[in-house]
Amino acid sequence: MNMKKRDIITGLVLAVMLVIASFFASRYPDGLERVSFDKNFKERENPPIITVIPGYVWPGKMNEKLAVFFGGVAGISIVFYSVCLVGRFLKREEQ
Amino acid sequence: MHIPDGFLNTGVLGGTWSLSVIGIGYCLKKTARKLKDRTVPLMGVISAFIFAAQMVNFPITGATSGHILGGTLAAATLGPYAAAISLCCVLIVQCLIFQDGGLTALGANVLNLSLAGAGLSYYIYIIIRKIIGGKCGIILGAGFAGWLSVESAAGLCSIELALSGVSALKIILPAMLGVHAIIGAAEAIATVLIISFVLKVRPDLLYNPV
Repeated sequence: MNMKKRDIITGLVLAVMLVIASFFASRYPDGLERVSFDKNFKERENPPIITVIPGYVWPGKMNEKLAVFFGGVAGISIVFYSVCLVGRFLKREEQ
Repeated sequence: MHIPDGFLNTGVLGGTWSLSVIGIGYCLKKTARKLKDRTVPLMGVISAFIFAAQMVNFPITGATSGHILGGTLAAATLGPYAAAISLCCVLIVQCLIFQDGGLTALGANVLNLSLAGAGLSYYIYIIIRKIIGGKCGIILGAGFAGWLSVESAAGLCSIELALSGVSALKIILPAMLGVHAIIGAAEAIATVLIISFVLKVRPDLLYNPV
């Protein structure tokens, strides 16, 4: 398996396209949230201890879709680099 | 299916954190031995793709939505251990940066979505792949394992909620499995489509190439 730079860019572009697709994501509650409403335990939920980019929406006053785009791209970048960092660290540890 | 803070009691939080730390520690050890230089960027790309895919909630019946988990997709391309680590990193970023899933419930989410969702689903995928054989085995194995990864995560989540005294297992388990059976079907379709595409254009990207 040979992972070329072109493959990495293609994968990341596809991820960004998914972020754009998320503009049209359903606003309905997800499966667990729906069950928590139906079975009356939603009120047990505590607010998050810390908030950085809540709900994938970049903070500040801007167009909502743009805020989701920036939030999503920030997430993709953080996930990509943190996973690569973990991978490189594991490689070095083994060597 | 990210569990927020407040749903699980202290005992369940402690238990799931312990199991997750042990499980991810084992995966880190196993991955370090098998990791090749060229696998590292693939781990990054697959993780970033799964993160973005989880942002796309699609509507299902009963004013409910769902999103794909990507566990089987990661497992089929990265193997069980690297896939579990990738999903774990996605969950940590979602929790710490995007407040998707509670910080105290991170152990439970890693157990349900990473260790079971990616790690265990790999073995289901491999068993079906070996039984059927060929490309058909890969596609059908990935599809069924994808569906089962969502159902197993829903089942584990139900057990954790029941143990926390949220609701009786006989009430919560059918509700969770029912709604996630539909989300799992979407997961299966997405996994089949992506794995079929990978098989066509880059079969060498699979963990165990044809």
